[in-house]
Amino acid sequence: MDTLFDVNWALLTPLLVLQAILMAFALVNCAKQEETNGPKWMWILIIIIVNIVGPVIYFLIGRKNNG
Amino acid sequence: MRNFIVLFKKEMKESMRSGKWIWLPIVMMVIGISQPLTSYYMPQILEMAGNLPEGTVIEIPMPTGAEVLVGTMSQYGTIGTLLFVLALMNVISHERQTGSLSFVMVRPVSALQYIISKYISQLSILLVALAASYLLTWYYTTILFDQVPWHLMLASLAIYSLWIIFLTAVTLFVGTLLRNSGGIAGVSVLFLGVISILTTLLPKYMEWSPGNLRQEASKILIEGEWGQSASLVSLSTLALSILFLGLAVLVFKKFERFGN
Repeated sequence: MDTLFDVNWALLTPLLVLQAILMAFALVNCAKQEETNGPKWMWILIIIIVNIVGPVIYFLIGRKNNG
Repeated sequence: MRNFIVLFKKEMKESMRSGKWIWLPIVMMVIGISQPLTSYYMPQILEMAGNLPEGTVIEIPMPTGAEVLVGTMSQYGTIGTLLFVLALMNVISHERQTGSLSFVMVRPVSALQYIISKYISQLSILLVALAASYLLTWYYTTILFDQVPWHLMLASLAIYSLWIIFLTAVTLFVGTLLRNSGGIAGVSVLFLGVISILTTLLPKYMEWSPGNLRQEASKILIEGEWGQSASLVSLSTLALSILFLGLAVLVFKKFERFGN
């Protein structure tokens, strides 16, 4: 498994940072919502567990008032 | 003109509040830079994923920078298109469902102003997302592979932006026809998909088709020249976009007159 540690982290870090920003932004947005489509805890789980796709689905169909 | 600016500002504010300005560029950037990264680490990925017998040698030629950018374009063409249509599906139907549309239309706002303000504001989000993602991807390919000249990169970006211009017009038009946002997304994706398929099946009759835009962008990247066909496709795409926008205004006017 040492290939895993061979990767150049300078290359991968931006990708991980972008994912982290997306997740954090979705979580904050979700927490601030008064009401979501479906239970809020479900959306929080989806955002945390499903990488990238989770936050996207939340923004597309999770919000009650989607602009 | 003043009406337009007010509407445009309102659109921008709404997109800010719904977070579209943040999540769309980020997701596009992730899609974009995944492509050079997976191409670069392909040998390691294969080694880790496939239970290859000891001593297997796989020779994968290192792709050129242009090839990686072409690969990114094809990601934009599938996942990107789907994402953009989904992001646009609510633009009109949401205001219709909540009734805030009648609020807006009580004011002396013309259908043209309304549609164009929607179009320009949404288009600017999508184009910013696309450009940010593409520039970042270009930066990555420059580091990992070889450098694609910046003017070719910009030319291919410009050509590909036309696809976004077309896509936004189509989705907005479908948005004036239907009320259900799922239906809007479905019909738009179906329409765009049929155009792409017809373009590959009947290349002879579809030279003007917007489905050719991605191919033209790839051609610019790999061959390094702006062909005559590129100009034809660009012109026809612009014309079609204006046509769809015009239809959207017409349909919207009718809707405005008769209520829902």
